[in-house]
Amino acid sequence: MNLKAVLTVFSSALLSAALASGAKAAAENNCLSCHARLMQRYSTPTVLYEKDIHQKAGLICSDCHGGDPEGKKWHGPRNPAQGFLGAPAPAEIPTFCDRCHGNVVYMRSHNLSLPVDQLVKYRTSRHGELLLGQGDIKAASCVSCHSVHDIRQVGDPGSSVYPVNLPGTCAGCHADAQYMAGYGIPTDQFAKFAGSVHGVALLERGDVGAPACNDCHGNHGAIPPEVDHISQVCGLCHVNNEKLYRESFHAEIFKALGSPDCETCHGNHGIRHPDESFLGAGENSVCGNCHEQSRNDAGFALGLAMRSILDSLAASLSATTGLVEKAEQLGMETSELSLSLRDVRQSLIEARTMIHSFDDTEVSKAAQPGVKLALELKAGALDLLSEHKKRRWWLGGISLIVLALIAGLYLKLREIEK
Amino acid sequence: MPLKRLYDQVYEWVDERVGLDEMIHFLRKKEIPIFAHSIWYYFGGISLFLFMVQVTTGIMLLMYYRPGVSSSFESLQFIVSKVHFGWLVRDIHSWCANLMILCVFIHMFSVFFLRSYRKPREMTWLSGMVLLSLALAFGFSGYLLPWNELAFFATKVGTDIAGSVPLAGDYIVRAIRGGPDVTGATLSRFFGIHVSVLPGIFIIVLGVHLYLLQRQGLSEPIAWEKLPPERKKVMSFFPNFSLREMIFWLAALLVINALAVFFPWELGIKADPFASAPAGIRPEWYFMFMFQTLKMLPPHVGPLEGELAGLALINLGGLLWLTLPFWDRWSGTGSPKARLITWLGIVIIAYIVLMTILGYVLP
Amino acid sequence: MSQSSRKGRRNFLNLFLGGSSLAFLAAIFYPAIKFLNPPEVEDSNTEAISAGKVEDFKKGSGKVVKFGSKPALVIRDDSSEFKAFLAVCTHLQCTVQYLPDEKVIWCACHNGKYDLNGINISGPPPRPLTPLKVNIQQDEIFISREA
Repeated sequence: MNLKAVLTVFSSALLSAALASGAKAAAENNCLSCHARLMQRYSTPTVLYEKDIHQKAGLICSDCHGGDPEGKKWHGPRNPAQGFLGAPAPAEIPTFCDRCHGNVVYMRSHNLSLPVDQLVKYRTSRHGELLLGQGDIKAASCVSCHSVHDIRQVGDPGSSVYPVNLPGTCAGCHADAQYMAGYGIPTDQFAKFAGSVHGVALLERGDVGAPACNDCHGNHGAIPPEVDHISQVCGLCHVNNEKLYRESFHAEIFKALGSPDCETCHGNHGIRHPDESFLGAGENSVCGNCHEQSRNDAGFALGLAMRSILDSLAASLSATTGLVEKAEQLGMETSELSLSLRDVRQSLIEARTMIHSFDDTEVSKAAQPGVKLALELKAGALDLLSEHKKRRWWLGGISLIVLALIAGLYLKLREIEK
Repeated sequence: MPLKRLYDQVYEWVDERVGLDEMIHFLRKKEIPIFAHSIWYYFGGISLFLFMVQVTTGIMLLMYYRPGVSSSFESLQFIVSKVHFGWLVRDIHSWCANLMILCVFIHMFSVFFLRSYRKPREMTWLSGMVLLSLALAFGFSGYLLPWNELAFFATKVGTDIAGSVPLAGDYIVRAIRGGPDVTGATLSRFFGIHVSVLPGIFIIVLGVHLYLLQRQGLSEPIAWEKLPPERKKVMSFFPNFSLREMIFWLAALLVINALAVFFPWELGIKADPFASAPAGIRPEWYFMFMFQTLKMLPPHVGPLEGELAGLALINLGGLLWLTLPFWDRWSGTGSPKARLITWLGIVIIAYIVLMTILGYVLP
Repeated sequence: MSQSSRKGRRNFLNLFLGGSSLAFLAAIFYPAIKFLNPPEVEDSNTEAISAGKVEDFKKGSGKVVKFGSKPALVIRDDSSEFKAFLAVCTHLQCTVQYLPDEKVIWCACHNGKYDLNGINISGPPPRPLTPLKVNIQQDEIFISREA
């Protein structure tokens, strides 16, 4: 208790010192003169700190850890007399960082755009509950994710919390079965995510439009989305799907069952790119998870109906695309056809989205333009291919004229030579 | 018969000024020996005819083709898909190119076997070899112009080989490509060479070749020379040989037609310099035997790099072939060593055919 | 063979030869002449495409038109200025559309949004839309690729 009070006093004093020192460049940083030359354990921070964003902001060791940067005396691990706070204990870290990061006035002088509510959110998170509420030092704190001494901005691709790197950072604990033993949650999230459509987009293609862990779970206030909020999380990007679902009868049913909306059919971490096999009959069918796989079950029958609409459109699209490509490679004019194929694809995407209305007439309506167009385009492509053939026939026909001429010349020759 | 009178009047008018009568008299007088192998005599004329077809279709294509990295492929696509009969002109041009080179080869070998290169026809042979190289250059430069995937990579591989020449190799490659790699600069260069430089030089050398031919008359094969005068059968050039030639020219057209019907040329995919080379890059068939030879050589032949040794070998062979009239002292003298020359020809043909087949059959 | 029949044969032969020669020449010249006649679409590059007349576009509306083999979005904003972009979303290539109420260009696939300058302002798209040049000649709108 005593120590805590002392620390609080000194940290506020430190704050003012930090404010002051932030304004002018540190005259001297004698911390470095020892720490740069000491054994690895004490010198690592000095090496790492060169890349740290705080270093770029003009902060030196003492601005966080306290102590006298101009002093030349050795300090103990923690020395209130010297104002030296030392390395904070794990449970103290959030408040340690919050001294500055939670202070609006202070942060304004460094980076207006940064939030200042990290600690507030953190307290509501599962990590916060465990660490601050239960004193479980295994739980993540600021430095677990942001690293320490070489903290980079979130937008810096070298940062451990840059979207592409973030899943790996979370997996550092969450994928470690031994570490996570006793918490009662699975440890396969990262593995599943890495194979999922979002994971592949983010981790393999570097598409930062794809969600990382924090986009669904929140970052400082990280918590698994509540069952009834899941569709809203997905709906941040998948707007149409969410809206249709919410207005469908299925949403109420799922709510009544306590079933987690989107996750029920699509999974959470290991979301695969959905395809037609999700519907109707078959191994992959998600309808089959609840519905009996027989036509007597109205729900299953609905799935089958939607499936057949999509199947026929997808097959039509694929066949037509093949024909158009063939014609193009042969050298026929296909730019109109190719352009219109986009519209067929668009129709298929819309029909697939429309599934979430759980109304097969709507799905059919969305697919109709595509079906019609695909047939027209197919006819167009076949026309081109037959035109190609026709040309060859005509060309062959010309050979007859040439043959006739050759025959005529030959006969003339014979006549002359008689 | 007013039409005939008109015809006669026009004929006289032109004849007074140009000397038509003389020309026709000359042509009628010109005689072609008839013997078992006289069919080979036609191939020179067929090559000429095919060249004229190439010039015509080439000029027609020039009306629409635009060289450039972002317009070569597109303008060709335009030609084959939108221009009326554009596909036809393009197919003819592409197939006729191949056929012309084939006929030129046949012509060359028939001249070889008939020993027509002997005195006084050494210059005809030399000019003919120049024409052959020009024809191959035509083929190589024209092949790139569609700027599709196959063309791009075939050109890349082909020009790479030039790089193995010692000392001057790098310079040669840069000069041919217009830079270190095959790019739009290469396309510009090849286009200029294909439509300006080569046609100009070709026509001049062709003129020399034809002039020599007319002046010296067709060469008489050795066996025929030895026949007693009553047994020497001849036919006059005009109209007998000419009509026959016409028939053969039409037959060549028939072949082109058939090729265009059964093997239409594709447009392909536009070249992407950054894409990896697709499997099965090959040069055109007339380069295949050289290509396959280089491929089959071991990485080192003595102190030389394999490719370099291969190039040296090919060039040496070419040089010997070129100077044939000057070192062949046996043909026509009745020497039994003349047979060696015949065998040499047979071996070379067999080699070319074998290498070409292997080039397509082996992976 | 009698004289007259020989002559008859000769005539027939000449006719046959003449006829097939004519046919042959026609078969050569007909395609050649048609070839030299340029097709309706004169240009191989889609250099400038007409997107319609000015009066076809209401103020504050947008339309997707064909630009070669790609869709293009032509917008007439509230100040009657015309803007055009390739309507291909830079995220996963869906076709974008103009939302007149929100005055944004929207991609229905993953809720990507672009402002009226084509800059990606929200959602997954990583890059702005490809802008196209707009030229208005005699009340007709022409769009072409920027140089």
